[in-house]
Amino acid sequence: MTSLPLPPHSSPRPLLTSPLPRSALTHANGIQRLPIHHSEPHSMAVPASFDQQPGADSIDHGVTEAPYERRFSPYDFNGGTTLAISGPDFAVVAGDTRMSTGYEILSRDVSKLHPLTDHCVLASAGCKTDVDQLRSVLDIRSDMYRHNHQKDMKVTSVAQMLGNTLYGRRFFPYYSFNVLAGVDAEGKGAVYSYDAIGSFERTHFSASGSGQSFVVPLLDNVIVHKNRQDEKRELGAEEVVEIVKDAFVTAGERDIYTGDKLEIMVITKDGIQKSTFPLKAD
Amino acid sequence: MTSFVGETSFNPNSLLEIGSRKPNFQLANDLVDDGNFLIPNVQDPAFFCRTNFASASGDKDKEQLVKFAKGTTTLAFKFNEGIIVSVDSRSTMGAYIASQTVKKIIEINPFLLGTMAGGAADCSYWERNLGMQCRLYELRNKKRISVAAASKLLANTMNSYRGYGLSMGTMVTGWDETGPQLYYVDNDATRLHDNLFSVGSGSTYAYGVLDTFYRPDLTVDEAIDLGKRAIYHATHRDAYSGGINNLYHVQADGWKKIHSIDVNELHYEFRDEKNEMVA
Amino acid sequence: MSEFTASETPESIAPPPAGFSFENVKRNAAISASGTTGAYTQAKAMKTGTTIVGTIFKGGVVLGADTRATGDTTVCDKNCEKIHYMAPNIYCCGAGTAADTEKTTELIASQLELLRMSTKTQSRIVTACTLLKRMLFRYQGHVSAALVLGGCDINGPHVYQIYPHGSTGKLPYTTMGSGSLAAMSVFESEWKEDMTEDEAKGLVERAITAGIFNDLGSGSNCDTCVIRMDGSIQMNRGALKENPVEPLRDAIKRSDRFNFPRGTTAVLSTEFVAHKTKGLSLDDVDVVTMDTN
Repeated sequence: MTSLPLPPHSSPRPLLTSPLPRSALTHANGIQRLPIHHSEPHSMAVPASFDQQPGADSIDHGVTEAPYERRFSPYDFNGGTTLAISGPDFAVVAGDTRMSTGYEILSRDVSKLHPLTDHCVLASAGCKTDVDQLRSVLDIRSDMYRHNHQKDMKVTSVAQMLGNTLYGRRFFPYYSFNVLAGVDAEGKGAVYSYDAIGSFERTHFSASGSGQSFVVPLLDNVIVHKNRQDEKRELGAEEVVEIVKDAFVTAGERDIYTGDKLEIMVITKDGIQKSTFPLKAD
Repeated sequence: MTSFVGETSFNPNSLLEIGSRKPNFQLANDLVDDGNFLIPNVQDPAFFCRTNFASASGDKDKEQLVKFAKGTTTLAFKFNEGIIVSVDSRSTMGAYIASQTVKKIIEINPFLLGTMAGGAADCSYWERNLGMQCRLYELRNKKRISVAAASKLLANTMNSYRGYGLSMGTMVTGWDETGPQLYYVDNDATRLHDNLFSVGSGSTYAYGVLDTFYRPDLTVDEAIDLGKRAIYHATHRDAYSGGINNLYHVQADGWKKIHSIDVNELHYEFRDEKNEMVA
Repeated sequence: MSEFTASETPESIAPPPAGFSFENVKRNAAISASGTTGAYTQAKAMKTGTTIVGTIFKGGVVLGADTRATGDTTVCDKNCEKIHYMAPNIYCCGAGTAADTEKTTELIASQLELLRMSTKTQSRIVTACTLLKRMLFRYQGHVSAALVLGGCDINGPHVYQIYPHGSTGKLPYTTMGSGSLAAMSVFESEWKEDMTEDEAKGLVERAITAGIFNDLGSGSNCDTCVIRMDGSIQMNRGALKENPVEPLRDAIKRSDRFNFPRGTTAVLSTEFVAHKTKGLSLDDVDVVTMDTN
C-alpha cells in the first residue's frame, strides 16, 4: 500500500455551475441571459467570489450592466474578528459574536471560539458553514486520537493537524481564517496563526477576520513592543484581557462586521475561563 | 467501517435533493482519510482551481476572493566549503504583511534543507511530505537518500498536480556521498542542478549582488557575508520581502544555523559602512 | 474695454469649465484594464450605506437620517451630515455616494436660489424635485444619489423620493438607503395621518434607530430636521445618540502600555529650520485685542 498522495480522481459528477439546465438560462421575467464567453482561460477569473456587493440590487434587468450570467458561489463571508495573545503561562483568545451576511445581521450571539481540548481553543472567522465543518472534522480526529492513545492531543500536535486538515482541502479550501491558542506541554502560552490553506506559524499573538487590520498594528506596538524604545514589560493575564477589550472596541468602531458582544477565554494549565464583554450593536 | 446496511453513498439525482441530509456513512471515513484531495464539482476543476485558488505571486491573485500567504527572497549557492542558504522571513497576503517571522528554511532532516518561495502552505506541506518520503527511503534502504533522489521525488509530486494552481519555488540542498548538491524544483516540476540559485519576488535584486561577488573559492566568512548582503539588498528594494535574514551553512556532517538578523539592523550596519567608505 | 473684463486670464487661475469633466475616463479604463500592479486600482468612492426617512405630519415635514459613512466595509466617518440644505423651506437627505449627494444637492440649491431671485417667490418642493430628477436622468444613474426631499411650501407639506436613475415618487412617508427596509417596517406599523410634531419626530427616530441597529451600513447617531408650515426649521444634529463609545471605554481598565512617554518613538535625526519672517516675531509687536462691538 503506497502512502503517496494520489492525484485527484475525476469521476463524472453532477455539474454545480448552474442549478438550471443550459437551455433554461432565463431569468424569471423571461429575459435571456448571455453566458460570458472566455476564449482564454487566463483572462478573467471565474467568480467563486461574492456574486453581489453588499447593497447592490439583486436584479439588474440588464439596465445598468450588460447582461451577465449568475453563478452559484459556494462561499459567503460572515464577518467578525478573532484574536489570541500568548503569555508566559497563559493564552488569551477572544472573538466577537456577530454573524452577518452582506449588510444584514444574521445573529448577534454566535460563538467563534471552540475548545478542542481542555488546553486548546480554536477561534475562526470566515464562512460559518466551512467553520462548522472544520470544527466537526477536528473534533472527530481528536476523539479518534484520544481513543487510540488514551490521552488528549497536545497543542503542538493540534496545530499540525489543523494545518494538514486545511491543506487536505487545498483545491476547494475551507473559507475559514483560524487562530489556535492554548498552553503547551511546558505550560507556556502558545498561539498559532493560519492562512486559509494551512500555512501556519507559532507567533506571540494573532488576529484574523474582518477587523484584523485595525487590531494587528495596535497589538504590534503594545504587546510585541514594535517601534517603541521604552522599557519592555511582561504583561499579566488580567492586563492582556483589558487590552483585548480595548482592541475590540476599537475594531467595532470602524469595522461594520464587528460588534454586539465579545467572548474571551483565558487558557492556563488549570483549564479555560470564559468571560464576556458588551460591544456596540450598531 | 465495512458493513453498513443501506446506502453507502449519496448521489443527488434531482435538484430537490441537493442539501438534504441523507445519511452518508462514507463521509466519516472520507473526513479523516488522507488518500485523496477533494476537488470542486465543476466541469474543469483544474481551470477553476488555478483561477480561484492559486497562490500567485505579486498581485496576480488580486481578483481572487481568498489570497494565500506568499512572497519572498531566497537564495542558495555552493562553494568549496559547502552550501550557504540565506532567506528572508516576510509573508504577504495581497498588500497585507501577514507575518515577519516565517521560517522559510525547512529542515527536512539533519542533512537536507529545503527553502520556501511562493505559496507558504504549498511549500511547507509538500516539503514535510518529502521529509516523510526520505525517512521511508532510509528505513527501506538502510542508507540516507541522495539530494538528487530527494529533489526528484518532489519534482514528481509537483508533476502530478500540474495545472492546479500550486505555487512553489524551492531549493533542495544537502551534502550526500557525491558532495554538496543544490537543486531547484518548482511547481511546474522544473528541476535544475546548478551552483547558484535565487528564488522569489526579490530574486532579481539578490542575483545582482550574488553574480557580482560569487566565487567558488570564497572563505566561509566571506560566503556568509555575501549571503547576508544579497538578502539585505533584495529586502531593501522588494516590498514583498523583509523581516529577518535566516542563514544556514550545509557542511559534510549536516547543516548548521549561522544567524538570524533583522534586516533593519543590516540596513544601518551597511549604511555606516558606506559612509565610512565615502568619508 | 471695461476694467472688469480680463483680456487674458492665465489658465492657472481661470475657473474650470462648468459641468462634469470626462478627461480621465479613458485613462482610468486603460489603467484598470491593463492589470498592472495593484497600486493603481481605482480608488473606491465613499458611500453612505445609510438609512434616510421623511414623513409629513399635521403642520409640516420631519426628515431623519443616520450618520455613518462607509468606504466598502470600513466606517470612514462616524458622524457625517446627511441632511442637506436646499432652500430656507426645503431640506434633502441623501444616500448613495457621499460626494454625489453632496454636490447634487448643492447644485440644485444654487439653482433654486437663482430662481428665487428672479421670481421673487418662495421655492416649491416640486421645483426642487423636477430639477433633481432632470439632472439625475441625464446622467443615467451614474450619479449615484438616492434622495428624500422634504419641505413646506404654499401648497402644504411635501415629501418626495428620488432614485439615482431619475424616477420620483410623491408620498406621505418614505425611506431610502440600505437600511430602508428596517425603517419602513417601523413606518408601516406605526404611521398614521395627521400626527402631531412630537409623534412624527418619535416615529422618525424609531425608524432610524431600526436602521442603525439592524443594517450594517447605517450606524452611530440619528439626525432629524423639522420643517414647519409657518416657515420655522429645527435642525437637530445628533437628536438621538444611542451608540456612545465612552461607557465601553470607561468599563475597561486602560493599560499603561498606552502611555507613550517622551522618547518612546526613536528619533533618527533632528533639523531646525528657522521660519522665514524676515527677522520679525510676535515678540516684536504689541498684541492688542480687537474691538468687536
